[in-house]
Amino acid sequence: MTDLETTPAAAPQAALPMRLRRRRFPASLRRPLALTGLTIVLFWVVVMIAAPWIASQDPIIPSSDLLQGPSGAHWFGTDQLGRDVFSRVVHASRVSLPLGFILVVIAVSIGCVVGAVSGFFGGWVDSILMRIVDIVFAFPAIILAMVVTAVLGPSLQNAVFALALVTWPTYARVVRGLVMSAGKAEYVQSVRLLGASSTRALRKDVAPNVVGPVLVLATLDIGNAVLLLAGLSFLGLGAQPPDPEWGAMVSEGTANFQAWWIGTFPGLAIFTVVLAFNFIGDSLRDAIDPRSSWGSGERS
Amino acid sequence: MSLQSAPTSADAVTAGPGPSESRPSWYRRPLPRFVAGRFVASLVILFGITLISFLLTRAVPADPAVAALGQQATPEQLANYRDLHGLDDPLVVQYVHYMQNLLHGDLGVSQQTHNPVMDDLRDFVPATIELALLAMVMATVVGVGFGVLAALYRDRWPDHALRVISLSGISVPVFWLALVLLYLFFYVWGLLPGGGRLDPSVIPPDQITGMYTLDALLQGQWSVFVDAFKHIILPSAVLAAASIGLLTRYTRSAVLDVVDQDYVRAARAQGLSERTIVWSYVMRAAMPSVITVIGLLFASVLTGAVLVENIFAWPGIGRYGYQAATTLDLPAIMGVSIFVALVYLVVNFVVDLLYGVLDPRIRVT
Amino acid sequence: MTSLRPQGRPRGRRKSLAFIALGLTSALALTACSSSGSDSGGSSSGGAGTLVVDTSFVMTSFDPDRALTPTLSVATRGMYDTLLKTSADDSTPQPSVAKSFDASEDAKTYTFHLRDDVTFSDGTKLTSADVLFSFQRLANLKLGGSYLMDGLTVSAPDASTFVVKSADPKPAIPAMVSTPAFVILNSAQVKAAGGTDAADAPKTDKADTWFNSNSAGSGPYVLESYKADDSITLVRNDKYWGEAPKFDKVVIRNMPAATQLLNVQRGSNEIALDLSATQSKTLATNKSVTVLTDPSSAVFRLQLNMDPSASAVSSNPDFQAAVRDGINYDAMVQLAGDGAIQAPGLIPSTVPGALSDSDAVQQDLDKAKQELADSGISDPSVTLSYPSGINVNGLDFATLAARVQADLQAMGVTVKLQGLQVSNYLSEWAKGKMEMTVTYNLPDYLDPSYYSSFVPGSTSDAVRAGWSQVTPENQDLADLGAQINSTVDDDERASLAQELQRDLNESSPYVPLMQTAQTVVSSANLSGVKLDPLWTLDVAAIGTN
Repeated sequence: MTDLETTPAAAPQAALPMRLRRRRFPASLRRPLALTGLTIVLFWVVVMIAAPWIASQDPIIPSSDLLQGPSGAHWFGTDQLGRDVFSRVVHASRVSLPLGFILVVIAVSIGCVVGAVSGFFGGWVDSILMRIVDIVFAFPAIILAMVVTAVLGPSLQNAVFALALVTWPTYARVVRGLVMSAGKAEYVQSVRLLGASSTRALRKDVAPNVVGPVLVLATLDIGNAVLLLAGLSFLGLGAQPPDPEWGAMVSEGTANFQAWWIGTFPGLAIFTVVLAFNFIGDSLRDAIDPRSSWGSGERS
Repeated sequence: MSLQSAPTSADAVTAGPGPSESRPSWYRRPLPRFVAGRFVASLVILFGITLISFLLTRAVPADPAVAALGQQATPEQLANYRDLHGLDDPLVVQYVHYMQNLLHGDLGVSQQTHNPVMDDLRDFVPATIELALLAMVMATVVGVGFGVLAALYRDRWPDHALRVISLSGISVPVFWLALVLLYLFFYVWGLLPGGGRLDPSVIPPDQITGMYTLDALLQGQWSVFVDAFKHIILPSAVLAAASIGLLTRYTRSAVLDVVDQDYVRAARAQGLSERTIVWSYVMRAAMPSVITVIGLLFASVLTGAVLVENIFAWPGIGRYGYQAATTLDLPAIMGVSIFVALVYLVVNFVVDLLYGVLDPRIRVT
Repeated sequence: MTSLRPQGRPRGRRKSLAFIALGLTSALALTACSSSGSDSGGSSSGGAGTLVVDTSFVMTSFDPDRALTPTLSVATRGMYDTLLKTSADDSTPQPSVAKSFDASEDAKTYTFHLRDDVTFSDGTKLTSADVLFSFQRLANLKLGGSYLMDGLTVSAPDASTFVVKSADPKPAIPAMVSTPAFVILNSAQVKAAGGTDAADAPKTDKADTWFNSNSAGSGPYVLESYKADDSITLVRNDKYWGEAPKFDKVVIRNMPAATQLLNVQRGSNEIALDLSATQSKTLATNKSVTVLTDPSSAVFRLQLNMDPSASAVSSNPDFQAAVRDGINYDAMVQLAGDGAIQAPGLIPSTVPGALSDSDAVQQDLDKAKQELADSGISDPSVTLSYPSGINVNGLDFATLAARVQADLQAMGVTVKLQGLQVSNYLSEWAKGKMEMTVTYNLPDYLDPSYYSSFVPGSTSDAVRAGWSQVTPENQDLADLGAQINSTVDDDERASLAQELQRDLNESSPYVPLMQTAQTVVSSANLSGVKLDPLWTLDVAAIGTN
């Protein structure tokens, strides 16, 4: 968990002309890597929606078939309480995916507000807000997240809250950078000189330049959010038994690891989801940041 | 988003070597001022950390007295305990008191281990540093190697393969990777031990650095070194996985940035072998951004150790922090937070410094 | 006392609640000195002489007068002696440091006659002054185990005689002095380390940290080193007065359960303490290990609240009866895994006075529904609290709470689950206002009188069930509790305790659920491995075949 930071590329991209970037999105998504990622994500979304029909067995009620290996009756085997691992993996997608999305939305919202205020007003407001961001960055985030969940009581909602608390600064920084450069643009300056209000300038002139890159960043972070939530659940600070959740299931796997199937399959589920988002994100990044682009002949 | 990204360096990394608008203004200052500025900023942040962790631990709804005395405690005992530990004092008084002790190197006594937190840190930190160092060495060797390879084969199949490998490295849940590796190397093949730092029948080497592998080597205890190495190899490999992915990406991009520069072209025109060019010119030029990434990763790996140490029963600071957080061992939580923040700030400080030294354009321009 | 302490553990480990039991276990340290491992030379003194015990650490203070956890009790049994000693096979206290004792007819005065050949590991002779110091320090530190000394006065008329007097009859005294809280410390050493038995001990006793690197006892082993979160190493005490232990060295390691499972299969001289019955089932056919599954002393219960101001619902006697009759006990026991049994009453089978299976409450949904209707509460709704993130003998509280929720909701009771981190849970617990909770108890000493803390008017457990006031309705139960406390005859005391439990099963805020099993897996070459209800394991009794 922790070092999932994969997105330094997120930093200020504002220097790039916006139009160019927009044009490149669709193209970048047509590459094989991105297509693979999109397919996997789509697959999981279908699984999530259709979970009750796909998983025939109850994911929560224990049975007496303890620790059975994978078979025709139990494709992924059964766990230490005799529950069908396949059904649990399928049902857990309804937990991990939406919560990963919500986590990103919360973090982005906080980050956007702070970053926009900081970048637009500058001066002492900026200094104070950025010092706060520095402090949150320097705080050992996983410890902070663990303490917050421990204090509030371990649950998925609290885990999401705790993670939002430690992840928003990344967005604040990015948004601040984007707002600053957009705000410096001549036409924005002139609009303000003409007497337009700050809010109007922010909304009409700056926001459009910020939304694109932030959306990209947020999309590819959903994978990381899933990973972080799974990590907290693995530590017992997120989902509570008997609810199915991938990270918590891997944790049950570590307690019974002669029964390899208990932990292996939920782990694979996390891995594929995160990988899919990273495939998409990486392709998008190529579009935004050709300098470090990977693949494609855009350099030159 | 990540639990560990870096304040300054996120920008610096993307900016890559070379001046950029996005780099903070202090980069352009002369070295001494630049150093002083960073130092003061770090102190302010550190102060903020103590304040936040203090307030956070005081916001805990649990009564530390009940936690210490257990289910049976009488009201009188509880009052007695609160009085003894100053729990009824105003927050400001408690904070001032804490800071006074902190300045004297006293972080309080852990409720869990009943040792002074400072002593606990002294015990646990070397174990984690040992783990992190080895992980960083692995990540650097493999990651930089992959990165150079990918750059040299740009847009050909090795490049694409390495891209997928690198993305897999950052996507794999470390706790799951640890489980899979343990299952194979420990359970199925029986090649490596399942946890801990040394076999119980092996006597640890005398403490020099506190890192068993290093201490054993320094004292020529080969068999101890082998045992310690067998214990550390799996956890550090797991810890290295994500870093390898990142380093591959940044090395590749840094190398690509310089291969097209005039002086490299000139070298190539002079008939120098591709290999010589890569190692002498390209690597040197790519160094700044690679160092930045390594510095960042070092700080993140330290805390990333929480999951890995828990799975491998590795008695390091990650596990200590986890225990502290889940048992609400307040002095230990604060001690770990402050320590990790300090490491983080120092590493960033050094990285910034190196960056400025290696690439004077940054500070002078 | 029991039971819950703030201890979190990753899921999957067992036994994470530490029990503060009275006991405190711990360690003594002897001078030990043993300045850790400076015998560099690497002479792996290990080999055949080292016994390895793998467990998930649950630690508090190593100071025996301060706290006890199962991890520490193993080490403490090795390092310290008690006046009397129970064993895994026999819960009746047998002579140890005291070669005999006399009890007065009224069970108010117990006189212990000490052996004269007992020395501490530093060579000092153990006298009644050391016993006096240890007991007074336990009382005066005013920590978790201090309540055991309530109402007791101790004296040492001469060097080999020690007297315990109680204001009220206290037939449990021999059982109590056999527990980890009452280990005998080397008073000279502990005083030199800053320890004190004076009344101001909470403020002036500074020996806590000293015990992390020293032991101060007369047991078969001494503490060589303790690495927090990692390992405890004991070495043989050359000056031990009794029969020398078989192993030169005992290493207690902190290991996750899964790793324990594999270590014990691969090694010799290894013991794994934290495997669940389900996990160890996979070892049934493995000839290299011995699997021992015994009932633990842990009894899980559902607890409601008698205090109407805490909850009008859970204090309603008809509602309580409905809950009692509505629980699917078989499903509960299945959750707890192999070896677990339904708890017929609050007292576990390891303590005299346990009820038999036939006394156990059976699920009766029709009756439960009728009782729910009788309660007059429409659309009842309760909050069920539980300590989260921990499990005991492989049983997770959240799973248990979810099971209770399912049973009650089937009857039309809305149950809101509230998981609390252990420290927070304890704080709520101490307030005695929780509407309904799943909790568990481990006895601090193996005597039925321990369970009188559950009757109305008692100062500990009953208070947390909102039952602190003795009223005309519950006067009978309070009297019965007092009677158990003062009955001298062991059999009579046990049968009174059974009567109490039957009454509590009729009407009370307690719903006993199940008694869990504890599994000990050991290498097949070991002998004498037994589960001890008080100490978990007596490492000194373990040898090789």
